[in-house]
Amino acid sequence: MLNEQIITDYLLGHLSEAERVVFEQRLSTDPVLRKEVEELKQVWQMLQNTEADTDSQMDEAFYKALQGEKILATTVVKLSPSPWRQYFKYAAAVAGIAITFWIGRQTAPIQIEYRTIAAASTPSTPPPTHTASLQEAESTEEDFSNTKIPHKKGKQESIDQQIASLRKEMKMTQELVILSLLKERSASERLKGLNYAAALNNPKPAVIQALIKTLREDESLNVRLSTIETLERFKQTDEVKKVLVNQLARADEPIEQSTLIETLVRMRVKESLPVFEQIQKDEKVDESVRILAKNSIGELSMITE
Amino acid sequence: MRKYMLFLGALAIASSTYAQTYKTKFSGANKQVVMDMDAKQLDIEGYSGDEVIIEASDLPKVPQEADGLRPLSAGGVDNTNIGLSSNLNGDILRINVVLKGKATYKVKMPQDLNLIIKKRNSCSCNENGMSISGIKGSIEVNTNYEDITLNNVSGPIVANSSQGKIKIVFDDKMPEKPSSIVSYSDNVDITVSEKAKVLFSISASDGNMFTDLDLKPYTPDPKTIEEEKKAYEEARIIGRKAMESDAARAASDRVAIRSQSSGTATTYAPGNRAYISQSGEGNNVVIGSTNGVVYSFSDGQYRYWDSDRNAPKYVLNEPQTKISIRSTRGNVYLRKKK
Repeated sequence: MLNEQIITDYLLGHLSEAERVVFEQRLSTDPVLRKEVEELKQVWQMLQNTEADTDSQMDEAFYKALQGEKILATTVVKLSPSPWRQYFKYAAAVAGIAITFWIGRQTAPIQIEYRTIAAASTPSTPPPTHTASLQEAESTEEDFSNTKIPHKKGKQESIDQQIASLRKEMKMTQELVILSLLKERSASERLKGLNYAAALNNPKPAVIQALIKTLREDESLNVRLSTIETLERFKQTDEVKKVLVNQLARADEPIEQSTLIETLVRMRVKESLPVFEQIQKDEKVDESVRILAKNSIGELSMITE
Repeated sequence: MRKYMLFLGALAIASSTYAQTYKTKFSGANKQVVMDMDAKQLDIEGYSGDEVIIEASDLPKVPQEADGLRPLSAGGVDNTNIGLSSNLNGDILRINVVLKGKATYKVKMPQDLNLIIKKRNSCSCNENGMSISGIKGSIEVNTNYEDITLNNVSGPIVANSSQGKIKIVFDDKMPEKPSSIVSYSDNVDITVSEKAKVLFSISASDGNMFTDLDLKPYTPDPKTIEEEKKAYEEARIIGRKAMESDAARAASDRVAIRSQSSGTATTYAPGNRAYISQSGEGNNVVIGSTNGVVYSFSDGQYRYWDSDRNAPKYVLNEPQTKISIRSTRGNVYLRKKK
């Protein structure tokens, strides 16, 4: 605003002599301009006053700190014969971190533990060595690095190996297990993750998001089908319904299309009607899917009435 | 001289149909081979060596103008001289067809590799068939029209076909991880040893199911779950005791590792392993096992959860390996291995 700029310059004394004279003439004839100048002046003064206040407080603090520094400076210069104190500082820092860490672990709400299913008397062959890649959940604190494990001959050695891999496994919560399984390269591992997810009662939002992402992006048709079925299990939020409808609009595999159509009908998602109609008319779509879409339009319209 | 010329001539003709081979060293149970193939016929066999060996025959003729040139396509440049592009990236070996016109390929690969066969959209690929046998790693196959035939496989299978048949003969040794077989138009035919321990989850929408296996309908047996819960409690006790004395540790044939923060024990013994997770309130317990079978206990009730919970479930002997089958229009055949 032109006015503001000129007013500012005037108040700061940035105007040249001639400009100042002209401005003051304007001021005397223009009450509105006078008012603006007054207001701006007041605001500035207020600011300056508060700054002044802080300044004195700040000064005090500064001097105190300076004193402190001076004292510190003198002690440091000593280079003294109590290295103890120094080490204590570091020890305290490390202890502080350790305690925080430990507290954090205590508050970890979910634990996953191993346990055997087969109460079989004869142990069969040890599980395959690719358990390391499984990264499935683990127990919480393990403090056993120094524990001695009794030696019991050949079988014991393989148990040792397995324990070693157990220890190596990461401590994760339930959700993290599922999230990491869903990222695995092997489709079979992703299917396993979906099975675990299906067993959750109240999955965290991160899990639902991961499922949605899997539905949209997973390369494997089998995994996507399993995801649709898993998503149906949970509280069917609007977001999930929307994602399913979108996926139906994008899918081109007949089995994926028919699974989505059936799921959307069961979930009574009205918003899928336009997509059903589109599919029914689309000649590129497999005949039986088109018929299914047609029937589903009827079914869905009836339900929502 | 003439005979010599004739002989050379014959050799020249023969060489055009002579099978050419490409080899590359690649093996390991954590490695993957990803194939994107459009061939007349594709046969893959696992063996106990450490090389991937591909033998090609009936290679399409290349015009004279291409003399001295190599085929190239979106899949890459032919670096194998058999119309394929083979690229290694970390643990993954990708093999793509780059020459149009179909050849016949016979692939031999180390049996512990994992295999992924990608689908080519709207393609009558491998129209004379595709077969895979003797692979112990995991197999993922997706096809449009061609039939899938798997023999003597013991890794998890994730297979789907839009229009083709799927036929699988499992080894006596069954996979630990879950398998999923999905077929839209045609039949699914699976053969397992009658001693195998399988949990089948099957749905045939428009088709029928047939079997000569001794299958029993599956419902989670509260008793079994109760036993498992007890075993879990027992394990905790063992674990605690083990902490107290070496003798106790030596006495148990399970090894216990005590968890410091919660005071609970994790026990481990060869055989199946399960994972138990408890939610914060401690009332919701999910018991999962390596084969992907999951139980949950909440609100005082045991439930069996599975992502495809609508599909009926059948058990062969014990619910260990999980095989999930979905067929839309075709039939499902479950056979005993003879």
